Amino acid sequence: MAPKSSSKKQKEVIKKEKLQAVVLTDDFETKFMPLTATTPRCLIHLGNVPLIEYTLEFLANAGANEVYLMCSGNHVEPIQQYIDKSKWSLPWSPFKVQCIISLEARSIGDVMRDLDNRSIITDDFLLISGDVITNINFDDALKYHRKIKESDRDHIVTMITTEATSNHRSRPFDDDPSVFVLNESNNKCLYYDAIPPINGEKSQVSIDPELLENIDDFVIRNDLIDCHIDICTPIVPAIYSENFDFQHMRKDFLKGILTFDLLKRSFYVYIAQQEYGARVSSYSTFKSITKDLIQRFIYPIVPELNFYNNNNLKYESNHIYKDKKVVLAQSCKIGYNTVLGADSFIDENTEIQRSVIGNNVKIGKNCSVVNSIIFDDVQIQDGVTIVDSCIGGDVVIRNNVSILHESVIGANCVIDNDMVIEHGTKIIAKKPEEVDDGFFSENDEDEESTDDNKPIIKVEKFEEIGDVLVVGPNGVGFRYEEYESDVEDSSDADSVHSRTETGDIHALYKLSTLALSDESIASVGSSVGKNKKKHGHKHHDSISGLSNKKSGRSYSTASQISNADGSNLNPEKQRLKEIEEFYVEATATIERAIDNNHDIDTAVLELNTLRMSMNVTYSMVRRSTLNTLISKITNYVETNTLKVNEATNKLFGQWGILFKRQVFDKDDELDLLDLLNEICKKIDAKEGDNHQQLNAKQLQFFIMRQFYDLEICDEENIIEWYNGSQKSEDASKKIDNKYVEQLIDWLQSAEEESSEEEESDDEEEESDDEE
Amino acid sequence: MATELPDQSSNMGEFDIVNTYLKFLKEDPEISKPIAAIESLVELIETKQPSTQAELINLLDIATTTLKTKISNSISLSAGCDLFSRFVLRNLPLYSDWENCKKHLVENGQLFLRRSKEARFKIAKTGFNFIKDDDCILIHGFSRVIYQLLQHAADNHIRFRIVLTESKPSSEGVKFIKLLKQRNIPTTLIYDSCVGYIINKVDTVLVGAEGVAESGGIINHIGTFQISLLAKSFNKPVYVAAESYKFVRLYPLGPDDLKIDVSPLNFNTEVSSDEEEESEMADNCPKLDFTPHEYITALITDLGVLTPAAVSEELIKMWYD
Amino acid sequence: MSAINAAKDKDLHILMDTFISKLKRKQIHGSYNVAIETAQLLVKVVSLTKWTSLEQLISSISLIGKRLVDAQPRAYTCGNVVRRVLALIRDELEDEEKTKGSTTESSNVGSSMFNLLTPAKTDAQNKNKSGINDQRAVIIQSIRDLVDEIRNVDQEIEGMLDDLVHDNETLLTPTPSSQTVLRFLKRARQKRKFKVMVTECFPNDTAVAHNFAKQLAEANIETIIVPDTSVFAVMAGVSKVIVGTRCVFANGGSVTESGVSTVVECAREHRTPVFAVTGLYKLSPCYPFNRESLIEFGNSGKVVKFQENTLVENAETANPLYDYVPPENIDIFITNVGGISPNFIYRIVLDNYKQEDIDL
Repeated sequence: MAPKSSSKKQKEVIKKEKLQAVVLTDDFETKFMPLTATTPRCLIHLGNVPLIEYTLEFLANAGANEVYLMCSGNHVEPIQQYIDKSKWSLPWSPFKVQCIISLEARSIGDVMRDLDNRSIITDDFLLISGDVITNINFDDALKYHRKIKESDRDHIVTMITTEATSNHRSRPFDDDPSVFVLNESNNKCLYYDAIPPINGEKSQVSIDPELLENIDDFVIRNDLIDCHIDICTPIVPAIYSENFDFQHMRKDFLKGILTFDLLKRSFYVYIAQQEYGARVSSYSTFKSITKDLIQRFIYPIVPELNFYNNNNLKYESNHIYKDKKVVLAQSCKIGYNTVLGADSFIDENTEIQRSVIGNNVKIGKNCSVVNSIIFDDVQIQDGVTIVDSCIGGDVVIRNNVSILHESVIGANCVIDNDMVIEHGTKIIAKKPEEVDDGFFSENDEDEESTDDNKPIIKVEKFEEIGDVLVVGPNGVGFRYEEYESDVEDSSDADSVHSRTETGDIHALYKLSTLALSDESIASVGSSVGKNKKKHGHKHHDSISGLSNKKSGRSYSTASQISNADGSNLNPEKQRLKEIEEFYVEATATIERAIDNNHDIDTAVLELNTLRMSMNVTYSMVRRSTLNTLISKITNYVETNTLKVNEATNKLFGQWGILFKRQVFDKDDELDLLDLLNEICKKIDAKEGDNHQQLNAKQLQFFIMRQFYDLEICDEENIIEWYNGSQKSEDASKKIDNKYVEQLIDWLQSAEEESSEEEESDDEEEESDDEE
Repeated sequence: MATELPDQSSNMGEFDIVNTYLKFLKEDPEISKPIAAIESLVELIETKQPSTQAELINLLDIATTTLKTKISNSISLSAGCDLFSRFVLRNLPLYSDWENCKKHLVENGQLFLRRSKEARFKIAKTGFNFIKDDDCILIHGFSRVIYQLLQHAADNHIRFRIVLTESKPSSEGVKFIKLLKQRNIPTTLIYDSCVGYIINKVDTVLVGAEGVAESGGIINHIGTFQISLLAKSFNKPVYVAAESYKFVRLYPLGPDDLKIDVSPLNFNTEVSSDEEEESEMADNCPKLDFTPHEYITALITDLGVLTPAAVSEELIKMWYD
Repeated sequence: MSAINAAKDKDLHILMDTFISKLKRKQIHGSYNVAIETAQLLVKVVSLTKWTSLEQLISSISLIGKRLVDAQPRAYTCGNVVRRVLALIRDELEDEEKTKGSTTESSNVGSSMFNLLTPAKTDAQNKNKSGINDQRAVIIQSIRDLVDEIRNVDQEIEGMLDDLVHDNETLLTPTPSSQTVLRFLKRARQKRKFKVMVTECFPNDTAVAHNFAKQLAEANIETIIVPDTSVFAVMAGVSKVIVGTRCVFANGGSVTESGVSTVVECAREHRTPVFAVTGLYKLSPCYPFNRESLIEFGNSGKVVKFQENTLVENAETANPLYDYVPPENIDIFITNVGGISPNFIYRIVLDNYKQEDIDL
């Protein structure tokens, strides 16, 4: 609203209380990929209006005077340009809007710290996410906040929420369906947790009983929609600066202060009765809030309000909204709950139901668009079926394409004739990075598509998920993979024993993103070294750059991770996964130790910690150590740096001692040798055409010798192992290695000698190589 | 005057008003009858060059009477003539200079013609608001005004469907449907008697008018009254599209007041052949009927949308002061 | 000088945009408030804009009016006030031309058929500065008079009602949100003793209905609250129905709160007379072409609670806030210019508005 200075004279009446608002435009997640590849999240259109407009409209209604948009990352430019061109920058806009750029920020915590550094905040301010849609009356909330402030001096934040039910469609199931534990009398927040949906098996919240001391009646509310609108006191940014690892508003800040903080600061929850407020945090909330908007549950925020100046929607009965110059063919059918943007053209026999069609969209004959969202400037030819999906801007969809449930076609893609886009596919026009990691062989170079206008013909190299299969021969677009928890976590591609069953592409693609994202590097270390971890809690933060929140590596077997479609993994699979994860971690740890030349004790400590926390056996530790060392050796050999024996000596010389801490008794030794055998056999079996490939048999020999030299394995045990293996029925255990045989012979002779000599100490006879 | 008619007409030997009128009609098929009548009257003044006011008035009187009697059953024609006569009579006293007066009359006459041709366009602009998306409209009889209205709606990309009655005996529906289909408007043709069958499925009824009576009722192609009655019964709105120069100073209370010289109730017991029966029917049945104002929802005119009550207001403004 | 102009422009923009935003966000409640604020806005527009001839002023106000009407097409009184003001200005223009003695036929009051036969009016010449200031003052004064008229509507209506209500009557009103009806009833109580039935107007106005009943009770009128569904049942005992309106159109049809349509149909069935009370400012020269577009749909959450997830997911809900009442169902409109039959509304419209302004 305009300040009261709207009189004829130019007097500026300064309001006694200036309301500042901070809008967080980025929440540093990739939920909306591939749409966010081209547009910033807060400029995505909901009901043909950019999300940020809803927030700014709310702020205008609330009477904010200064609005600060916190922008970061590579979406700063578009947001700034948008604001400059919008009505909020006009001299008669109800508030002053300013973009604040925090380029280095990687999380909301960083943004808040930046805000603190700039010292802009002077009084109580509104902290709101850039994608909130609400019709609540802010004055009531502000009054409540002030009242609480008077009675409770420690009050720092009032969180605004609205009531729904626990299963309500507008609650964000896949992200933050928060549970609040409130003091019944004054709605003070005692505890907070984010739990997976009701379908998941975890339905318990663990609360420290100390928090509930002195409370008479508390209520656990799992039916609130957290609007992410907070009224904060000016001390809040300072708290973020004090606690450097607060990344998230709720998970870290709220929870952290409630459970850890010594200063007893308090949060209150304002529950808006009979009003609507929700945040667009993921595709599912995006769709359900669109429905709420079209079905007029957010009155007076309705599509035909047209507060976004470019729109001129008119309401017709049955919740159909039409903009200017919509041309409909005679036989097309428009179902209820539909929005048709300006200049759209719908051809004969086409059915549009419960969908949002953007501006300037052309839809051909005999199409069917059900429950979908189509953004601006899309061209759809004849015979196309689109169900439950999102089609980004400027997309071309040719004849007879079927796009099935829950797919997302990113902006600028082209889907060629007769393609079927399977359930849940996400397609992005350009691959997110064009880093040449060296994993792309020469053949693949020319497939890098930098020009979206030219049709790309993919070569067979990128087969299984190649683009020909996804978008067709003349299509533009690559499948966009999210790091779902049901996809196998790949080990490093260096490892010859690639555990990805889905082929090299996955590993390559993921690895390339791993290379760029800071989080991933931090994650591997942090999982091992984090001491703040409380027992039984999940850590989502670590892999946030890559994965969905819910696929965070969980070290607690008490929690369940569910997949994208909500199904659960059974305990066995769960366990296997954990083991997989361990291998990856251990390998990475050891590699790091080797690369950075840590001292032995550190490495051992790390490994032990890892082992204990993941609850694995020593055998697995041994396996991973062995794997790592062998792969290093392989590397040396294949790159022609060192010969086999030199490599082995070098590595084992330095790091063989690790085994000493992993092998304690005879069984362990036998096990170690078995492992070695297994691994070498595998290498042997792999017939590579790389003639640099090392001779596995030699390797086995050298390593066994090292074991002997380092006193990791006793000669008796080695001999026993050998005999046992030869005699065993298990074909895989049989040793077919002449080098090893020679070694055994030598050992036996040595043994005889030494046994003759009544076991002298010198077993350190190094014999020179035989071949 | 009537008895002197033959002599008078021979006096105006060089100028035959009826032929001029018919000539105008033929030249421009888009023109409507009252316009043609006024055009011919204007031409009459131009040609005849009357030298006094009295002569002018006399001339006009004779011409209009001739037209009215020679061209039968034309309510709109007489409306147009009356309008022009009234206009002349009103404006004559305003000019002192005779030559000036004549010049102005002729000029204004031409202006009137131009404006009345625009009338249809104005009606189309107002009237197409009545057509909602996906409407089903029932139309009876052919009217160029209605046709222009529908074209305007189609140009604005409004979706609608038309149900056309055959409109016997003139069978105008058959001609109309061709025009509409050429314009890509989905149309269907039904018997006049089918209207009751389908009335529930249409959204509005649109008709033109030959003349609009002072009460707001209309005179139109035979069958309009029946359809309006049905529409009222089923709560469907009936809209009439008519230009303002069709307003006549008639106040019929029933069909007999239309002064149409036919008597359909011609009872006899003579048996004749089928063709004879039909031709007798064609002779005896009227071609126009009167629809009272209670059955009309609104009139779309170039003066805007008028309720039937407002029509008399307009007429009063012109004729009584 | 230019700075002042720029400042004036900016002020004007601020005014306009603020007002439009308020309209859009429905922060101005009720047709009365909308009308008053529109009139005040127009006063400021007339005084702040630069114009050298009345035609210029007319075109700029038309533009402004169009913007306002587009912003909130269902705030009918806004458009009505703009058109009234335009009619006032055109009257000024006519007076001016009369004094200048230009074409004579144009002095006929709206003989529109004859307009076909008359030449177009010649444009008025530019007047000098002082002439404009005079006109400005005159126009501002007329707008202020209009505001006064709007403010006094209730009082004038009250005055007429003594003859309409008799002792021991039962009145029914389905529009408890109408202030006019409330004042009228209170005033009538001073002379007569009667009963009033109020419908509950679920779900949008239930609280209002209860408040209305309370206020009537405080004025010592026996009040009965009746559920919407039982109106037909109680109609036999009702002698008159009084309806408040939001807007009345040129054909006599009106837009009212939802639920009124049913009540007047019941009244018709029982041959009960229906009075509608309305102010002149609620009279619109437009014709209601598309009855569906007149109706605003409100919060579906009032019909089906948002929390009921199953229903929200699977059922379509609509909550119409208004109703269209056709002219046949109302017997007489009581306005501040007297009692008018629905058939005659067009005449009042012609008197107060000009044909050219209907399409802004």
